[in-house]
Amino acid sequence: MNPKNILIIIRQAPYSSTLPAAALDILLTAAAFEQNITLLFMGDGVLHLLSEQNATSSGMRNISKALPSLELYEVKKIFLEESALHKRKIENEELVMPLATLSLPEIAEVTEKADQVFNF
Amino acid sequence: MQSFTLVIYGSPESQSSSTALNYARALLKSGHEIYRLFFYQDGVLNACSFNTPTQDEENLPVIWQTLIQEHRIDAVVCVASALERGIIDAAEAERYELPASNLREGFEISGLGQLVDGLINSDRLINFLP
Repeated sequence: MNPKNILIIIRQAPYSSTLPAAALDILLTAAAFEQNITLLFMGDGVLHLLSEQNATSSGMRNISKALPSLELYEVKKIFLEESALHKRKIENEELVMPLATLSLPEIAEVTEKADQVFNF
Repeated sequence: MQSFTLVIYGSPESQSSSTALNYARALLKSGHEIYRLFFYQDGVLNACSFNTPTQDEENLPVIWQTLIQEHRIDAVVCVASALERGIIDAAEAERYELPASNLREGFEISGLGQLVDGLINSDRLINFLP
C-alpha cells in the first residue's frame, strides 16, 4: 500500500495546551509506519521553534528539543509560515534549526496535496 | 460507501464528543462504515464507567457504549492518555497495583499505532478537536 501524504500543522503556542505535544506523538507514530509526513508551523505555532526555551517550571514537554532529531525518523519536510515569523519579529538565527518558509499560496498547495491534514 | 476513522479529543462534556457522536450516527444512518473510533487526550474520559451525571444531563459514555455495542464498532482508547487521566482496565490496574479499574465495556486500551492504522486503512479520518 502506498504511503499517505500526511500534513501536520501546529498553530497553537507552546505550553498553551497539550495538543502540540500530541501532534508530535502522532507524527512520530506515523513516521514509524513509514508514511510521507510534512510538518508545518503556522501562526503562534512558530514559537515552538525558538531556541533556549526553558520548560522546567511549566511541567510540560518542550517539543523544540525533539525537532532537530526528526530527520532520523525520515521526517525531512518541516516548514514554517513565512509571514508568521515576520509578524512576530523573529529572526532565523533565533530558531532551533534552519527551516524553509512557505508563503500562504504555497501552504494552500501543500494542503491540497495532502491525503490527511491534522490541524492542531 | 466509505469507511471512516473518528478521532475524539474532547471529554464527555465537550462539543468534540457530542459532535463526534452525532457524526458517527449520521455515518451509520447513511450506510457508511466506521472502521474505528479512537479516543485520544481528554477523549479517553468517554470510556470511563464511573460517570454519574445529574438526571437532566446526558451520560455520553453510556451513549457511546450503546452505539459501539449495537454496531460492533472498534473503539480504542489511547493507553498513554488513559493512564495519565486515570482510565484503567483490569490489566493495568493489576500492573500498577491500583485499587480499581474503570474502563467501560466495549472500549479497548491500545496505542497510538491504532490511530495511524485507522488513517492508513480507512477512506477518511476525521478529527474532533476540543
